[in-house]
Amino acid sequence: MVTAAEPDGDPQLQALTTLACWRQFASEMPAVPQLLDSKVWQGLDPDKRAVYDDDRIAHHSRLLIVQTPAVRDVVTTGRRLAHLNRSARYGRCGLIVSGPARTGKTTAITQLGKTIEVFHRRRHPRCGDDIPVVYITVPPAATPKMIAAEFARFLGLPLTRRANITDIIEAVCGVCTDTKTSVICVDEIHNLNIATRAGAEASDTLKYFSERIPATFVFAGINVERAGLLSGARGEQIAGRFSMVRTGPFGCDEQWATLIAALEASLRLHRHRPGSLPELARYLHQRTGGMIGSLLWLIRSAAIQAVIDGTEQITRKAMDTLQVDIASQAGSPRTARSRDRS
Amino acid sequence: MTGHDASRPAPLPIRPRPAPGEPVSSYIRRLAIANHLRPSYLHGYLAGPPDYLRAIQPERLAALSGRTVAVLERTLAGLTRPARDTPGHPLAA
Repeated sequence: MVTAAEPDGDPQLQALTTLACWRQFASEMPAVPQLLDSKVWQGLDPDKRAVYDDDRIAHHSRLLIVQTPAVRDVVTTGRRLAHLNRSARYGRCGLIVSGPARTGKTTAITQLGKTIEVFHRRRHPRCGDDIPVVYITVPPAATPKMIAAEFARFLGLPLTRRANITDIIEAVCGVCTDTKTSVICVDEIHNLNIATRAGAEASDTLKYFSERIPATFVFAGINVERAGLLSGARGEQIAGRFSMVRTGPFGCDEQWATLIAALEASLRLHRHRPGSLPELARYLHQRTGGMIGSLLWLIRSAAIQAVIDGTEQITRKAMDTLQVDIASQAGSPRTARSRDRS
Repeated sequence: MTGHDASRPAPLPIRPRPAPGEPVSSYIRRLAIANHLRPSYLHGYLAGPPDYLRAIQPERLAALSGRTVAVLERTLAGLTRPARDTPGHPLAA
């Protein structure tokens, strides 16, 4: 067997929308660096210290994938549908993951894809060339040819200006069938505007793919119900065949505190006091609006900052100096305070 | 960025082995059929723009088949690099 070329560089920076990067993502088990004893750490020579710090920065840049209720729901429902669809010759069911931005939709569907891929590899260890999962994103103002090209690009099928959409679709469907594709994740589905002719045709192309390829389709997008994807004759057909998992912000409750405790447990900082982050649960909720994406961003940034500046701990004061995304920033107490001062 | 060459085509999803002594055209045909592509389309892609009908570029075939040019040259019959790459040619590096 010949393996696909391995992409270089940090896998976190690689788009998942090519087969080589997807396979790397699906097979990676990042090593968690061990926290050295304080005396050993302080006695490291500068070169070794730099390598040790780099490892911890890399670890904090990804932290752990948190098994939120939404991730669990998507993985369980997706696996159930994939089993249901295995013997279906038509009318296969699909899954839609819908919710506001930064609520973990992409994480949830990529974790589903990874789970399916891992199970397939375990069950068929000799079928290294199989492509059990396809992951694409819908480009803005997508047309049918753009959708077909995204599939082709993921698979590594060559595209030239001479390629016509029928040939691309034939190749994609043929390869997916031959390589036993069982789950197709389509992210950023809100980019599909079925109110326009091109968008409606692109939606039809996706539907055609779902009829030709014996796989479970999983769509993820921002507030899909409001984007119009489920309205009208086309929308009703989708709504009739798809289950929906909704993602949303966390409340400031026990689940939120548990989530923060799990993140804190994965930190590799020398002077961080265990339990200090859960104590800041309310502050973190106000800073992030309960959005998991914003929370991860803030804690990752603070942990990396703590390694770089040598403080080796995350405090409220340190987090006050860090910006989260603009949307969360607007409602945070930190912004309110700076507004009051001006 | 290190290493990864964005201009290098991605390997095809399905890559049959080249048979010893197999003519290049036959191998391209098998590659195309395995990947549900028209052989003439794959040949055109391997030749590259602007003239899709000229001889194929061995580097492109190597990238798409997931093998090195040296392996393909040893295995396939009739795979030759363009004249300018041949040692002794006035345009050779």
